[in-house]
Amino acid sequence: MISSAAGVELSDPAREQAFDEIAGLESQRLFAVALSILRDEGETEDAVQETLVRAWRSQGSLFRADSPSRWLTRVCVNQCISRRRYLRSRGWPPLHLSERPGSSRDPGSSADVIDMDRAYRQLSLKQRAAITLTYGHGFSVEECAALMSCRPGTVRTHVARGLATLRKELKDA
Amino acid sequence: MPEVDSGLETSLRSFLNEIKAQPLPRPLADFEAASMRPRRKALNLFAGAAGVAVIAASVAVFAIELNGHHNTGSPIPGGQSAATPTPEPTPPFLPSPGPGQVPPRFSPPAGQVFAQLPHGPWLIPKTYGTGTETLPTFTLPPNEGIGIEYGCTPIDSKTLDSISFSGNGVPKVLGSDFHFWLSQFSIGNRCSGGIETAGGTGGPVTVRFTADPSVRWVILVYEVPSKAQVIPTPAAASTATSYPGPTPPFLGGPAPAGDKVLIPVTYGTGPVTLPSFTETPNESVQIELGCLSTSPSVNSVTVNDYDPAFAGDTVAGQCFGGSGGGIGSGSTGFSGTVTMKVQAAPTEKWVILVWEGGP
Repeated sequence: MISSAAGVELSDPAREQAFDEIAGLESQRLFAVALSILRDEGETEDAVQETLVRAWRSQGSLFRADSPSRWLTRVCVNQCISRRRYLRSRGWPPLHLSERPGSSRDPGSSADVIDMDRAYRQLSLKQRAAITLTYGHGFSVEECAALMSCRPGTVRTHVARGLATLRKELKDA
Repeated sequence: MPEVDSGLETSLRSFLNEIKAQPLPRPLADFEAASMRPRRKALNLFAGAAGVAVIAASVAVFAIELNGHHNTGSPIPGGQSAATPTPEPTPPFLPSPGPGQVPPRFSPPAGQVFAQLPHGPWLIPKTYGTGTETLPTFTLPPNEGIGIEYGCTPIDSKTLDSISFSGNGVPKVLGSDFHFWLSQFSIGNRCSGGIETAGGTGGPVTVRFTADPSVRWVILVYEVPSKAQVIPTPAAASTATSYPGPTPPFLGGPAPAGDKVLIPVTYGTGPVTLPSFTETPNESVQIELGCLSTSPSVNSVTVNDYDPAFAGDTVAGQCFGGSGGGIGSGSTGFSGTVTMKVQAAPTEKWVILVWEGGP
């Protein structure tokens, strides 16, 4: 038996239903967050699936969290960042290989979007995470810091450096 | 929040909104925990499936190579459809027809294709070609990787246009017969991109561009500065004791050249508090950990962020009866002293490296 956020004990079927509902509601948003960070659809699918697997294994924490949505987002963001580190540590150099120039389902076809995509891929994963959480998903700097397990000042630095890179890359394009 | 000009902000939000509008792939849309009953067995299956997914992502990169052995079927990796109705973008890289090495005209200018033209040394200078051609063999120095930038006229995703490497000098991570399938890394039929590899033992490498005779292309092959440094044999020092028995695996490799090493390669056994270090403001601390189990059972080695100022990952290396490791990173967000502690069983052997930098 586990407890919901409201402290209500959930039976197994109710727990599964509650988990399915949360997963159903959050998957699309998690996919967007992860895709913004990783810019690779295959890796994004894996990252989101791993996030949901972890959530399933840690249902106690998930349901006890004040905001299951933020709990999942935090796991997903860390999964995206650590996943790349994991691959790199295994001697997988193809950070560029899977990133350039992107999958066939990358968004948009306009020149602006393609230019932005190319510039965005120059950002570090943490810069992408900070920018997508703040500009794409409306989190405050403080919320973003909590999601990225760092300090607000670090988030501001990631955002500032990321924007500077975007500005430069777009200017040079 | 840093100030951002409205033009950039508009473009950025538009870009991120387009990402958000992408449909959820079916495997995720169909995700149902309830389908995993009965629980114990299901959870194992679930974990297994997740493991497969993780491996699949790793293997996805190797799919390129695997496709080289299977000339049938789509080269497009699972989850991506070659038939995705993406409006055709302007070919970014359009070498003009013409004999030999006549400089092509580009649309848009070549500067956008080779956005960051790598510095040398170049292994093969910018070379233009048509259809299938084998480029001159070059010798790759030890520990140096191969980088390529390429572009071509629109390609047909149904064909197996590729850039392949062969020869004794091809880095092992690519396998012996590596094919870089252009359609896998192109948007629609747009054809431009690049790849960088890790280093290997060095030796002769031959690059072959395989394409339909109608395809015109350009390629540049360059040497990727080595990130591979020889890990010195641990000297008799307080932080580096000689390692008895088999060398533990060092999964992440040495610190990239130029990054600041905070704790050098350090071997140890059992729980140890590592020497304190001072972190540079706004820099990430990267931790690599390898371990070697002394029993057939599963043991683990963990690095704790012992200092509460350190907001980072706890790195756990699982030792499955022989090898394993972990990696992590974090930062204090300010210049601070950090002390880490390795937690391990008294007989557990481990090796650790901590440096500053990285992504």
